[in-house]
Amino acid sequence: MLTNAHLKYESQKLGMNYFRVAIVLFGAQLLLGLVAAIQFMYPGFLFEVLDFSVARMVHINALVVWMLYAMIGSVYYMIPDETGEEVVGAGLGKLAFWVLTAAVTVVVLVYIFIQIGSGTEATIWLINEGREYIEAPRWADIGIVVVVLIFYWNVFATFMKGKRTGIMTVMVADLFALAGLYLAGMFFTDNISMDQYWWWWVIHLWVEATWEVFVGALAAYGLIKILGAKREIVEMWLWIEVLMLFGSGILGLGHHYFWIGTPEYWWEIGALFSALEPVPLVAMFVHVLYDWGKEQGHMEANAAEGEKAHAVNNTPAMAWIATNAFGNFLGAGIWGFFHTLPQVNIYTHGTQFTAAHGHLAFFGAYATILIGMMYLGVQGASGIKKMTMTFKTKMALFLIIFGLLGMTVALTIAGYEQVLVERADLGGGWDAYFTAQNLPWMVQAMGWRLAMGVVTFLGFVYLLWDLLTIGKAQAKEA
Amino acid sequence: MEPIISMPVIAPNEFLGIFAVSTMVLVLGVGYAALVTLSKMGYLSRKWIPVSYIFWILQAYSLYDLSVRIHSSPFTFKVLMIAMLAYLFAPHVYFYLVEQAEKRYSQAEEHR
Repeated sequence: MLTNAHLKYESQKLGMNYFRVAIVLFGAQLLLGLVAAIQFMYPGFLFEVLDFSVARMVHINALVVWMLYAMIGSVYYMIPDETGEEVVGAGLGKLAFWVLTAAVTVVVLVYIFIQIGSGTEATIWLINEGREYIEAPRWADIGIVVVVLIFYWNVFATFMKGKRTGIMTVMVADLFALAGLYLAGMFFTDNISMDQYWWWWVIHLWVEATWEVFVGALAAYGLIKILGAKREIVEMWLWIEVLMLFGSGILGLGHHYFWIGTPEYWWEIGALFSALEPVPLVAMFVHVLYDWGKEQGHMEANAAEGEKAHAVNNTPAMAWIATNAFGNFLGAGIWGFFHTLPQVNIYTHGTQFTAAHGHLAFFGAYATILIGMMYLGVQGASGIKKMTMTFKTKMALFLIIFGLLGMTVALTIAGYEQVLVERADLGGGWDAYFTAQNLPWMVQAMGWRLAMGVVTFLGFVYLLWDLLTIGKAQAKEA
Repeated sequence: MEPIISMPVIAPNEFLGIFAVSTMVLVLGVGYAALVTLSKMGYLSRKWIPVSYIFWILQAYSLYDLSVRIHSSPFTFKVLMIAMLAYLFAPHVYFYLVEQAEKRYSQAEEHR
């Protein structure tokens, strides 16, 4: 992962830089998650050194930021393959990368070292904007917009100059929406309902619409690159997925409006379109398996007798993309559908059910495919024709998936207990909350969540080790 | 002060059923799509297509059951059932489009 030896495009080298920072931030996200999980069990742990509020904030912000880094890296990596052109402003892109990385470092240090104090106009500008998931202070917000504008210019101008494939067309349109949505989280309104309404646009129109479409475009690129799948077919699937994802995801956002003071018609709109949201996820799942099976079948049909045929030229990347197809359906689909209808959501909203869904959906829908893209990057950078799984790849896959599923089950049990005791039985008040927090089911579930978090972190260590060594080892063998 | 939100009260012992049934809706939905896909790919014989419809019927029933369990309004109930009807046709429309694209692709290949 540390080499660019076989990459001839500056764009792809820049993409690898983004992957490197992304993996570091992924590690930071997991570490801070572990700290927060320990604090759930032992509230005195690192009290006034690294408070729970800070650990949780950095855990979530690092998640969002490492994914954005890996997304930008993936786009820079795929641009030359898709357009046939070098990125138009490689120098500007590099400058933006270093500026963004320096800004992220400063923001994280400020989060960690300046934790408490009164909130003023100055703190919004310099310390913390106070908006969950996107707490970056306003100076960093503006910096992010500038960096993203440079990135978008690079993508758009290169797209206009080179081949205009269906995948890049979707990507360019999607990135415009993805970047534009960030602006919705940059202003405040006096009415809290209206404020929440716009704020939800950022993360939730990202994760339920633009990020899902982004994943669809990456999966399409990955299937062509890894399996040699037919572009025409893959792009047709992609257009259908885009139609379904935007068709259900944009209004499906309505399930976040149920209880924030918006008009009642959001119950029906949110219920209907949220219920439809799993359909494109099923389609994406079928799509990946269909293409995989078909290309493998073609290879076997064309192979000489007794010869082993493998359609896949990068088994670690394919394993993560297949995990994505399954994880997206399970995490975003099933765990989302559990509590998306308003009649159930009134009981589950803000319980550990949400955390269970969040953990599995972010991992299943996004982390998996972005890790797959990192393996594609390592393959290209090391000049390996056929990359195969190592023991470390398998350990990383097994431990991370097992750990994530374990955390999800534990959080679901905790959420179930909250629904029954705190909400349905005791009415959801202040006392009800604390009663539910102290019951054995909750305490034990949080213990299991911590244990499974440790398993996930071990998996991450294997992943990092593999990404750092697999390229060199397999390039030598070749 | 008048209560603003009047939502149906769900008894604690009803939640497990609700979560189980909502899982069944999606699992059966994947089962339906998977059987149609595997049959179209030739991994399973075409005889499995009727079996896939059993999955769809069970899925539709699960969604109906879910809408009853959560006391959904008549409007939501109708909309969910219409969505189920659309889902019945979705895989077939998909594979029709795939076959047409394959045909066009191979014709374009032949002309080259």
